[in-house]
Amino acid sequence: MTNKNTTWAGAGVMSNEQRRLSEKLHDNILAFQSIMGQSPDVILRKFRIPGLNKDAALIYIDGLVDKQTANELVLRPLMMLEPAKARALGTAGHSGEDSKPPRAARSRAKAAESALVGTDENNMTVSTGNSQEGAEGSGTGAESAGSGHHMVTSALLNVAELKESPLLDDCIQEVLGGNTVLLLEDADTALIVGSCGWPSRSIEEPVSETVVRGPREGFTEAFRTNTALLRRRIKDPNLVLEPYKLGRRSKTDVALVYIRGLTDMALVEEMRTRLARIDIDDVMESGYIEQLVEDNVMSPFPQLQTTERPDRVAAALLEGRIAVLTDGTPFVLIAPVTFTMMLSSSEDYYERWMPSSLIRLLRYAAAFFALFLPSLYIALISYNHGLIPTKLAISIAAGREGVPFPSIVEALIMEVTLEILREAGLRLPKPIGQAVGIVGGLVIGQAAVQAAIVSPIMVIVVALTAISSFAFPQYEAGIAIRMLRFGMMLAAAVLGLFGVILFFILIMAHLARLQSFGVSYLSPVVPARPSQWKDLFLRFPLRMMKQRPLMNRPQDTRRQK
Amino acid sequence: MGQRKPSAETITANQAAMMVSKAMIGTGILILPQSVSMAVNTPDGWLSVLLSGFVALLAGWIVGLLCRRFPGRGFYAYVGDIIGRPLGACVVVLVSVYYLFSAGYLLRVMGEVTRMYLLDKTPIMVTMVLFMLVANYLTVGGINPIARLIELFMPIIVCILMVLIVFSFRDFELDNVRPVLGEGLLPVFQGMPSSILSYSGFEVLLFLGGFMKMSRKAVPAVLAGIGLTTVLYTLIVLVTIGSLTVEEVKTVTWPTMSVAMNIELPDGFFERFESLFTVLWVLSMYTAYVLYQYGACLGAAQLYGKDFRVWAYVVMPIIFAIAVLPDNLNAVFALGEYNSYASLLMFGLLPVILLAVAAVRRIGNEQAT
Repeated sequence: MTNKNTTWAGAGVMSNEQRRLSEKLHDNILAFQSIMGQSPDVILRKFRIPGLNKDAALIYIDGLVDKQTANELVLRPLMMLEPAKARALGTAGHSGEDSKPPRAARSRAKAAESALVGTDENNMTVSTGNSQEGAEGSGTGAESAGSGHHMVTSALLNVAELKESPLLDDCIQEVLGGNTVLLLEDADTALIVGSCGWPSRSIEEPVSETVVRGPREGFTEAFRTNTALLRRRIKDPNLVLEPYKLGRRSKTDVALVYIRGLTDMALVEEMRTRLARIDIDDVMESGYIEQLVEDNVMSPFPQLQTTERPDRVAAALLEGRIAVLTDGTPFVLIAPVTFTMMLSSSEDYYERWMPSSLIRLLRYAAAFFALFLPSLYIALISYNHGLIPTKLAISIAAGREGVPFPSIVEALIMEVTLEILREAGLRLPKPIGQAVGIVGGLVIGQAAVQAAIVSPIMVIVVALTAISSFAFPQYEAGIAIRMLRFGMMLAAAVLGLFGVILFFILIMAHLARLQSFGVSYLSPVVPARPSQWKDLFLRFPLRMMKQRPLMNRPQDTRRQK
Repeated sequence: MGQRKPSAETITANQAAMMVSKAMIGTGILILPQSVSMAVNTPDGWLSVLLSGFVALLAGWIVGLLCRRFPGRGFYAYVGDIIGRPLGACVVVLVSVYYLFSAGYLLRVMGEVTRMYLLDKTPIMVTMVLFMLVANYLTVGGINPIARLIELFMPIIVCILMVLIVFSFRDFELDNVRPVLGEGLLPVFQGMPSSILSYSGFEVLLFLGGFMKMSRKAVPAVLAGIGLTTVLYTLIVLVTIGSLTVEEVKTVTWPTMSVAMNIELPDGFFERFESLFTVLWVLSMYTAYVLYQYGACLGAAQLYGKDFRVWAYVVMPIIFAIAVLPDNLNAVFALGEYNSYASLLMFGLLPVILLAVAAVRRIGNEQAT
């Protein structure tokens, strides 16, 4: 939660009328209470700073803040402040109001100290010394009204994130974001202390994209962790994170990430305008953003790439693409995306080029099978037997003997069963999921054939189709192909091979029309630039891939000398 | 949302060459061996085709020069400047109507071939309407998607033809194409009119030229496109005559299909190569059809000022009406022949006239020509 954060969010997200804080502490507290209500998790702690002889109030939301920061680094130094030290910190202008701190307050502070952690006196002095240095740095910037009080207080707070705001709404937003707000008597600004800290999942291996070779860490739900994971991979000061707050009510933290001097600024600008256009009350997951910024809603193909892998995002950024990080989800969006990216895995670049290239070719074959196999079966069985080799045709015919359905019904039964099994296996708790697999194996395999509902060759077709559609490194691309497979099957059932080719042409025509952020979905295959084909069906040796992909129009095209 | 970043409406020289070639290889290749053999009567048909290719190159060169003279502007836009608005409008109408008929003819041939080799019981109307709808989807996408798809499909189409040519070499007998020039050059020249007809289509460069990023590459592009077509045509005619003999080629309706029919892969793996060839040939017909439809829409849009997308929907029923007009296959081929003659007249003569008038009136980019 940096200062920049709120300035960016100010663009259209905040309400246009901004209420200011008053000079009276009591009024401010009442205002807070009227807005935040009496929720039990909103903590409002009134106390007195003995050194300044002023009342103050601390507001935060329980559970969102790191209590140690709030108590130890904010509350404690203020309550322990002695008048002499306050004067030493350079608040001579306010010394007239000085009086002896009441005994009661001091003893209360002592009690709080021992109750909390029980730090020794030595530690206390060291930390005060530190904050004094910090105050000299920050004090020059804070010249607005009321900052005199805060000079004292900010000098005492041993926290790195600290800012001042005169706006009530601003403060409320910060409190809701997990920060602590410090109000002071006679000050019309509040001090906002960065104290976010809530329990989050630790970094784990990404579930949806596994690799044999490559880093095993994946993004988590915590926004800061995710940005840190990116920073750790690209230690370039030009890595820019543009913060946004999306969602009128959810106020979700979102960051647009790119590399200054590398990424095409027109692309960045395009994403900015599309993000700015989002006006929705909640952004629960990056999928919301994806659906609100994509080019073509009617397309079955994903127009933004989603990934859980920091290495993948880093690689994409270095290719001149942009990423969008969203708080509360491990899935990061990358744009633009093309069809060939859907069939590449980050591991392709970690392995040596020969296995990578072969595996990539294998994926293209798998994509072909996943899309065409059942429909080719239907077309060949129902319309164009002539294309099947005679011996095979005879064995297929023998297998289909006794099957009462036309091939399309047969295929639909099996494909739908398979999809249901897959969905069931996905939703069930893991231990039961295996049971689904066993049932599915029995149903799909032996029983259906013995009951003469489907032919054995159909089982082979379905099995091969299913295995092939698992070979997609991108889950969304796999779904697109799965959907289109059913359309293809219907086309094959109605028009045979002619239907298959027509549907194929339709898909290709759609892909030719489709764009993702101004980049053709069929790039880099067409428009043909053979120099760009080093990372297509084959992954050329790294020594030969000296350019970044030009389709992203990077400002800096060379990645290797 | 749908607010996409409009990419510049430009095509590369590579794409232009492929589109020129694609507009030519539509239906011609399916019937060319027969029509040429009928006219030549000797096995020298392939020589006629080769020679006609050079004539087409000449015509293409002139079209290329015209494009280079008016960089960044389509034919429809500058024809009025050269010969005056009223006359220019007439030419635009003529060209658009020609494209309508070309599209209708191609649609009908596609339907006939599909009925013959793929779906003998499905009504031809059904296949035609579905084909048209799928084509319309690409046409309304504009020049960039069309160019991209053709660039993607062109290598596939060339591969299919090469597979056909290579596999039919099993049946190829050198005696069938001998004697070369057994009756002198006269039969070769007799075959040229009918073979020149199959080269119609390169004129799409007239409106493609306006989209080309570098118009100075218009001439190389059109020459490359026609050159590729010439090579493929010559090889196909040679292989057809070589494997079927001239006498047989003259009697069959779809000689290229007959060649495909004769192909047998080892162990009877594909017994009906012609079905597979037809299926894949739909790709070729589709890409050619889209170009014709787009050409017609663009002309209409130029005249009436509306978006060409609107016209794409308007011309669909017209094209369909033209496609179902002929009663039988002979009438279809007659339509195709008239069409080709019209093309020959328009695009053989018109570019020369336009270029001459433009040179005399000093219109356009003088240095380019």
